[in-house]
Formats: sequence, C-alpha cells, structure tokens
Amino acid sequence: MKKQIAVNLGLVFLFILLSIFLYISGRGYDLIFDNQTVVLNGVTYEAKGIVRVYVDEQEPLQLWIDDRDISSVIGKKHQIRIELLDENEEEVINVMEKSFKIDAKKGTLFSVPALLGGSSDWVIPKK
Amino acid sequence: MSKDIFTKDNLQHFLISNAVPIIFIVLSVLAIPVSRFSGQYLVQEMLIRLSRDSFLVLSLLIPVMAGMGLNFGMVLGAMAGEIGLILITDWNIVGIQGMFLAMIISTPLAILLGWMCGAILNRAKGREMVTSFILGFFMNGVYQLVVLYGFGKIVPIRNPQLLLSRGFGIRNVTNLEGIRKCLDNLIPLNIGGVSVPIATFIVIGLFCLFVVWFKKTKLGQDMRAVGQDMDVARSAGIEVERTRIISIVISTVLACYGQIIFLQNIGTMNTYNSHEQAGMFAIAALLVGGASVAKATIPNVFLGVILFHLMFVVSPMAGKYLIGQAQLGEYFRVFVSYGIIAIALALHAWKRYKDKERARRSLRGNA
Repeated sequence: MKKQIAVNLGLVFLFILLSIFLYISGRGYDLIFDNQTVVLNGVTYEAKGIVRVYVDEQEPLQLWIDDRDISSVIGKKHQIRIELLDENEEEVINVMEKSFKIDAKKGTLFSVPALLGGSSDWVIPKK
Repeated sequence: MSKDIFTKDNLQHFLISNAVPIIFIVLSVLAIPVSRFSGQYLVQEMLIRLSRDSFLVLSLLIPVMAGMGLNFGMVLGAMAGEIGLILITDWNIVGIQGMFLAMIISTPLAILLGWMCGAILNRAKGREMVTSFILGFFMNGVYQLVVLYGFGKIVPIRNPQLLLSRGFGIRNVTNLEGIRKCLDNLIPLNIGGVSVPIATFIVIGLFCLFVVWFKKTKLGQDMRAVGQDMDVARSAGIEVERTRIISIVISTVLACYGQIIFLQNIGTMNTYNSHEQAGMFAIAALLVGGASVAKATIPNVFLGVILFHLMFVVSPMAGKYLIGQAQLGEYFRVFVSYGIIAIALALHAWKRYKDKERARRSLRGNA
C-alpha cells in the first residue's frame, strides 16, 4: 500500500515537472522590434537606416526608420541577426548576430539602434 | 430445404446486424456521384475527419465493454479538455507543448468528473445511457457557471482577448490559433496532393493498440465479465461497482484528450457548445459503423467515422444538384445523423428480440 502511494506521488511529481517544462518551453512571446532613435541609460542611439531582422529561422522583418514590427516566437532562448542595408536596400553594410533570452518582466520591446550601437541593454523598458 | 432456411436465416441475421452501415453505404453510393466531388477531395476530407474524430469515438469503446452502453457522459471529459485549452490560451502556451499541457491540466478534472459520473451510473444500473445523457446537461450548466462567472473572477484570466468586455467570463469563441494543427502537421506527409496527418494517426494507432492490450488485461477481462452479467461477475469475486467506475473514468479521460485533438484540428473553440456536439456526433458515428449498445469494436469506429462524415460532406452538394438547394441536403443530413441514433437503438431492441427467437428456435431444433 505504501509502495503504491509512493509510486502515485512520484507520478504526480513527474507530471508537475513535465508541466513546468512544457510551460517554459511552449510559452509564446510577441517580440516588438523598434527602429527609432532611442535614449537608454542616458545614451542616445540613432536609427541608421533600413534594417532586416531575422529571428531564429523565421521570415525576416524589414524595418525602415521610425518603423516597428512584431515577431512571434516560442520559448525563451533565441538567435537574432540584424542586417543594416544601404539606401537602395541592396547591399548589407553591417551585420550583428546575437543570442538572447527573453525576460518577460523587463519587456518585449527591443531597440534595433541600441543593439547595432553595441549596447548590452537593448530592451526598451515598460512605461 | 433446411439448408435453405439456414442460409436465409443467416442472411437475415447479417442484414439485421449490419442494417445501419448498409443503409449508410447505400446512401453514400447514391449521393457521391450526384455531389460531383472528385475522389481526391473526398479522400482528403475523409483523412482529415478520421484524424479529427477517431480518438473521440474510440473513447466510447471501454464503457460498452463494461456493459454500460454508449457513454453520453463523455461530454464531461470534453468539458475538462476545453477548460485546459482555455487556460493554455490565456497563458499563451503554443504548439505541441500547449496541447500536451492542456492534456495534463485537464486530466485530474476529467478523472474527478469521470469518477462522479461512474458513481452516479452505479446508482442507475440498467439506465446508464439516459442517466449519462441527462448528467451531461447538468454538468453543462455547471461548466457554463464556472466559465461564464468563475473565469476572470475566481480563476485569474489575464488575456483581454479571452474575456468578455465586462471583465469576467470567457467569450463565446476561443481562438486556438496557437495550437492549430500542431499535432496534424507535426510530421508533414503529402501523397499525390493529399496531405496525411501522420502524427495524429500514430496517436490513434497507439490508442487502438491500448484498447487491444487493455481487453487482455485482468481489468479488461473483469469489465467484459461485468458487461456480460453483473451478478455472475460479483459471484466470481469481481468488484463490479469499482470496475464500472474505472471504465467510465478511462472513457472520460480519453474523451478529454479526444476533444483536445479534435479542437487542435479545428483551430477555434465554441466555448459553450463544442462539447455538446462532441458526444452526439461521436455516438452517432459509432452507431453508423455498425456498433450497438452492447458491442462496439475498433473497425466499427473507423467505418462509422468514414460513413458518417461522408454523408456530412456529400449531402449538401447532392441536395444542391438534385433539388437545387444545398440547405435541403443539409437538413436531410441532420435528420439522418440524429435519426440514426433512434434507429440504432430501436434496431438494437429488435435484434435482441430476434436473437432470443433464434436461440429459442435453435433449442427446439428442426422439428
């Protein structure tokens, strides 16, 4: 009888762990990428031009100056690649690649100029 | 002479036993050419509908085995599944993880509801079907109370797209875009322009294996014994009431999973009505497949889903080309779909009478 209870409790514990794993790995986020001039921690990051934003293996977002767009992702860890294009949208001037982890408490509004400017803090805080 | 009678008797017995699928096969054979649908379209539609509905219909097999008839109480499981889906939609858990999380969340609720249903049905022996049918209506009221007033007030719901404008209660339609076809498209396969939801069929196949395995277990044998004669089973030392409750619990939990699989295919949920349709359609499909209140097999499930949904697809168009109005074809389909439950139950009673007569005649011999 005691063994049966122990097995049942073990199964319940296992399912709780599985639920937590599914909750973390399956959570969807809408990431907003913003290509506007922004002031973060007293530093101004200018929007430099047209950018193409690749998140993981998704179709790229193309952002003009003062533009923003949404990318929907699943899970916390992601890879981002940003290409700064010339005025004719043909040649890539600059490329930035980065891995990042979403912190929902900090927010999901990301500044592309801050990222291209080398800032470690490129999340625009929630107002 | 006696051989002729024997053959005629056998043929009559075969026709009586399979009257419903034969009626549906004849109707389909007549309606398919009239509807003018291409073979490829019909094959695609049948594959989609088989993957969507088979799990729900399979969940009805175990109570039939335990002699509890068609479990109209499966809607309780469907409700549990829907509550899981509402919660994962609120938490924005998407993809296959969302579907599995919904299953895990709703399992304890389905077990609880199944246990409650089983305990009530134990007090209504011999009238299980009508009791479970009415129980479904009762629980529908409780479900509506919880979802319409509890969600957003007692159960925290943060997603404003889910909530009614007054701030509590879930909207009429829940968008399941996050988990839409997540299982169907998990293993993409396309054969000659027909897409096959292979992952869903694997899950259904595993369920069929489970049913076959379960019948051979001690519990499965106990259920068959209880289904045949409760008094004899009790004399043999089987805990009849407990076995019956377990059969309903298993059916309710599987119906809960079936409803989640069904809704991931549809991609949208009618918050207050989806479960009502689930029970009626699953039972009608099983009966169309040639099952009865006392006997249901895996082939009955697949034949039933195909024939039932074939009528769904072809009857409106057949009606349109035959009499100029699709609506009339649809009315005909609804009439046949629901009427088939009454026909199947009446045929079941008639078959029992005929079986008794045959048994009596065989005892008398040829004299």
